Amino acid sequence: MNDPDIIRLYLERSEAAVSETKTKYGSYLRTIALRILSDFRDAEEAESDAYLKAWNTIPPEEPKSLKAYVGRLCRNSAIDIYRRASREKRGGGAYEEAFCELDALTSGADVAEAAVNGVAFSEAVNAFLRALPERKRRMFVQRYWYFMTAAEIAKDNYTTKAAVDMQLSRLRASFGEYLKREGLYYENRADA
Amino acid sequence: MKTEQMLKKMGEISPEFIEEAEPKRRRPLLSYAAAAAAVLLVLFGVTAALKRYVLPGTDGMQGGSQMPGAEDIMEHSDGSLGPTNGEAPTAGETFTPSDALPGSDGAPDLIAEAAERSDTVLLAICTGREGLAVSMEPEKLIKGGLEGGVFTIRLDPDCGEDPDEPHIGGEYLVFLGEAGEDGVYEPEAVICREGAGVRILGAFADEGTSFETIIDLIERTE
Repeated sequence: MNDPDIIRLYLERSEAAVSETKTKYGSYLRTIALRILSDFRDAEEAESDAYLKAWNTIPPEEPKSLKAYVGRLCRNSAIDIYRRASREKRGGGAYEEAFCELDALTSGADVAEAAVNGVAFSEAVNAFLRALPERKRRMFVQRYWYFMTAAEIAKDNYTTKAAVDMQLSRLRASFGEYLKREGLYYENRADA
Repeated sequence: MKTEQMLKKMGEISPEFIEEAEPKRRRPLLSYAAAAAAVLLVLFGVTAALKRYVLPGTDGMQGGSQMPGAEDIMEHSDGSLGPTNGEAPTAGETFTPSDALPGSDGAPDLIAEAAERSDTVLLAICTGREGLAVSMEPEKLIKGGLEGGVFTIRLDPDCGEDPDEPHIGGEYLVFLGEAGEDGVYEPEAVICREGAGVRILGAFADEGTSFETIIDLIERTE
């Protein structure tokens, strides 16, 4: 079943919408969740959360891409589960790495008020990504959206891990510069 | 904004970027290699079948279909080699030289000459040279060589690096290659093949190596 038909099921409040979503995107969602959570049951929980949230939000939402929409729901659920999980249960290596990388980027910085509502931030990230060459954009999204490891990104892009590490390092630096330039975050004045 | 919030907000990027970056599901390279190998095997098989059953020989005969097939070349229990006329060799069976056919051109004759002076067998397969394609089919070469006896040359797989040091023994070597003018082998055309009762230990394919040289090597080694 194609996406518009599945979305129509959601709009008609047919419970088949969830099963169709699961059939089509279940494995995709589990893969996303497992990159963040090491525990398969936690990943299943994130996946189930995504179905529930999709059911609760469509309508009024009517996503252009069901795949990206449920993917985002699952990803964010997995991040929530990761946060509340005990440290022993943590194991999402790639997520932890990505987290630390961005944490280092924004350490000692505050976020401008405009960014708090999220819309400005999302639009800024989209503009940043749109300005990148496709290959760099893929790498950035694979790292910070899919939480792939550098080795996985290298394999997917026919390059070496060292090249990916270097590319991501440069991308992070330019991302940080971009956010500053756009006024989305600035050095923490409390320390000044 | 906390880093975690930032990561979550980044989840709201445009779907086109998400789909663009989705990891590819690639087939393992091994599968491609296996598929390529299968294609090569099929091509090799088809070529061999055409040569054997369809393509006319230069002596007017129809391919190899009128002569013992490669599967008839069997290694016998006493280490000798020879055709079995379609029958599988049995334990203790020895090859009878009367089965041999005379070589139809110079190369098999050379083998026959060498065979008179040796108790070993040299198997050689040449393709591509007009006039040798059929007459140098392995069964004919063997038979040509067997006319005056049996001689075997054994060369290690890396012997091409040092053709002056061949190993004479009870194993068999098959030359598969394309002979240029004067029966000189072109190294890039050499292919190794096992099966049909022939054990291939290596290929001797140094550029410029001729039958005469090979025979000379045999004699010097002896």
